[in-house]
Amino acid sequence: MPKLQHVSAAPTNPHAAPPVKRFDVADLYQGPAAVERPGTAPEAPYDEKLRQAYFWIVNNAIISPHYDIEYNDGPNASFVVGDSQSRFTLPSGQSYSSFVLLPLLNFAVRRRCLLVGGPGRGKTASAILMAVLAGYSLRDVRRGMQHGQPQMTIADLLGNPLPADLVGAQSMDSVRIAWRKWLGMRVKIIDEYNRIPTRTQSALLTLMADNYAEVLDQIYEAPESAWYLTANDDLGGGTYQVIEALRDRIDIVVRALAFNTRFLKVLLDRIEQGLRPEELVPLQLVFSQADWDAMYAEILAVALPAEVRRRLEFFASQFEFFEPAAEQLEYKTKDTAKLAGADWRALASAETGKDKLKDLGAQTRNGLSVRALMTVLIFAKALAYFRGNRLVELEDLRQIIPFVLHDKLTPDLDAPFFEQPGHGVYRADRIGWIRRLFDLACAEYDRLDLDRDDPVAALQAEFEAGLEGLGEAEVRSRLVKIERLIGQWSGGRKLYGHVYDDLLKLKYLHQRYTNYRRWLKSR
Amino acid sequence: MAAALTGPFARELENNRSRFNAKFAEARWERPHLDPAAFRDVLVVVVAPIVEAVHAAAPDRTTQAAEALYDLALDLTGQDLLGPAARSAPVAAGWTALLPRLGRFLAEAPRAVAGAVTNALYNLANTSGARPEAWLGRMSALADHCPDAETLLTAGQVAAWRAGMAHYRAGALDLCQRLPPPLARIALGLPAEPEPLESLIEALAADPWLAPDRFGHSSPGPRSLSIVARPGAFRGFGGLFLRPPIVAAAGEYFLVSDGEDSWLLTADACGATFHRMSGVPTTSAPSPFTLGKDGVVRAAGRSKRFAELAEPTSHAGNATTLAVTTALSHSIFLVAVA
Repeated sequence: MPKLQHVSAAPTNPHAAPPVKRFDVADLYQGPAAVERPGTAPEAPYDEKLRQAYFWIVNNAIISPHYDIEYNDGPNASFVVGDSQSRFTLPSGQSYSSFVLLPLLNFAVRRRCLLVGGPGRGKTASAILMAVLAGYSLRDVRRGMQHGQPQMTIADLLGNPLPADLVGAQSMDSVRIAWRKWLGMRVKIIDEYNRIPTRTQSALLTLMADNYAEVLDQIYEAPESAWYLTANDDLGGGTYQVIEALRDRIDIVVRALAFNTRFLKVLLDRIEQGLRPEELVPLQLVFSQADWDAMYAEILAVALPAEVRRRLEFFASQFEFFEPAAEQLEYKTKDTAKLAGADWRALASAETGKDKLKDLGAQTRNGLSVRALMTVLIFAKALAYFRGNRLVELEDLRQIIPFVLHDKLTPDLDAPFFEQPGHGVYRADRIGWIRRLFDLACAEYDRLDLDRDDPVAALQAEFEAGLEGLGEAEVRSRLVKIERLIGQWSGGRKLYGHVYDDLLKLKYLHQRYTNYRRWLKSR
Repeated sequence: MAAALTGPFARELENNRSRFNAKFAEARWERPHLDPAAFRDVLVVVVAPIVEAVHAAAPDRTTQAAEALYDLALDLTGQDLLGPAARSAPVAAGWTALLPRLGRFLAEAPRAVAGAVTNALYNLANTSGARPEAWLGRMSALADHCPDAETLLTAGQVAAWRAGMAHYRAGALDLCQRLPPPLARIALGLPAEPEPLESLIEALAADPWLAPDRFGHSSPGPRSLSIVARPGAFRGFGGLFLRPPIVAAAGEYFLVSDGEDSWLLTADACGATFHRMSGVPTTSAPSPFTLGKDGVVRAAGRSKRFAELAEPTSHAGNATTLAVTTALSHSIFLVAVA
């Protein structure tokens, strides 16, 4: 077992010893005490520090020998195992454990992470480690952690009015509130959030969504925070049903994977030696507020190339479109059907003519919200940043999307896709299902050759060049191009989600040009 | 057993009790011989006064200093460098006598300063001919004048050369030019005067046998050949050599061998140090010295007979020094114009 407080350094490039020793006065301070001179220790770049934190956690703190976020540098070894013919790959690139990496990325981008899994799998320990990385003492972390329980009141969660004020106040404004200290922490932990009563969940929602707490008309503005919620039940069930708005505020879902019994010896060592890794986090891994802010700014600066963004657009466009939901194209969405409370099965069965296996949208009961897409973008940037890149790669998107959309995409388990041989497993494996959805979307994108032949993208690029100085003839010509393209598509082409989005985009462009032409004529 | 612990360090230990206990548990897992009672004594007797000094200098840095000093003390106790089994008296002296005087520097960079002092004393103690107690005294004097930890440690490197670490001569002279003149002078063992150092540094660089405190002193007569140092001794008397050694040139240094082992010898007016090594090629350097079988040394128009150098077993010279060995001594005779 490695020394817990040790942070491994990158190996240096050794050189042969010189024939005659050269003495260096700096060697005076080299010896049995490991130190660096003040002012000479280079501060590790934040992405390096983030990686050091990850490797320290996986090597010393959380026993999670799962490399489920796989990256490959070139060909990898792959095997088929078991009766189910499961594919087992040995990645050729540096791969990661989602259970450790994703909470860490959530810490970096200050979002809301739900850790789900059976009891005793390290969910709370993982959250505590994140708070320790933020510089809080273990005592403060434990005091700040909120434990969901059926009697939890809003006052328990947020704070109490001062009794003296409550008796003597002439107006609500003069009632002071003793706010709970945890509200001011940069890392907030709610253990077993699905055991919180519904009314208290609403107060929690305000805090999570809008960063403020309210008691008796008094407002507490909370700082930006990384949130960690834990639940034993994947579905958010528990003592109380979790309100949908609260579930919707969760940005990423992390599953605690099973303990590998081959690592029992490590547990034995910890018991025998009384070692508690969370108490031994090396100080050089702690992110101060300034570090945290600077790292976040660097993550936001990671670029998402247009070709990768197009893949995400194409994938995301598959799900919202629902042809039977309305007459007018704009309302042909799953949201329309849901808001109307319409019978889903009846409407879904009314959708005919399309290949329901090919139509990825047929696999879900909902589309993707703006918030979900923004979360995908920010976590994709964070993953690229963690890997030391300043550009998001397609594989970053592929790896992060299942965890962000875990609770955002609801599968329609009656869809024909799940009836296909070998697809039954996706009814339970949501991570695998969403990753499969992304792969299928990418395959379709390639089949349509949209990287090279995307007429809507060409029209958009033309529009983004600006309208200034554009003559009426050119505007008319562009309007004709748009109309011609829509005309080509209207001739019997099946309407899939991505075509739907393209049509609405073309309508948008058409409208902008139309308005511009009207303005030109009115001058 | 030491008395009960009170004061700022006691409060730091109390506030993070479980963390500090966990660190000890981890260290003991790695080093089962670590004695809790011995480490407790180290904390009470050695570390607490240092943390108090930090607290007095910068109360807001007490927590960081306590954490860093606890970690380092734990590590050093595990290595038997602190505590009842300490195998290096100078290191222990540095923690009890010097570090409590460095409160404001430790507040700035606790681990770096305490670790550097520890390592320096360890190296001085393990370098034959070096004088760790002299370095301790000079660092105490420097502490009253240095503005920050970086400057203190830089001056400490110069002081180490003066305390006998002859092999740091070139680097120390370079560092002298980066230090404010008064500090450089203190580090060199001179009064803290603000005069420029250029001429002193030039003279010291040109003549390894010029002691800094002799610079500018008019000598009663012309300089002459003399035996300036006699480093080395029989192993039975605490030296390095099993039998009388022989010497050869190795660039600006000398290579010494007793037939069993080889060492690189560096020497100047501050001291002489041996560095065990093997496979070093002998390389002759231009030298003005010649030596006769009768013990007569000639150089730069000077000549002098040294009876103890008669019938030499080996000799080698460089630009400033002649090294001579004889069958009757376990020392190396160093002859120079001084």
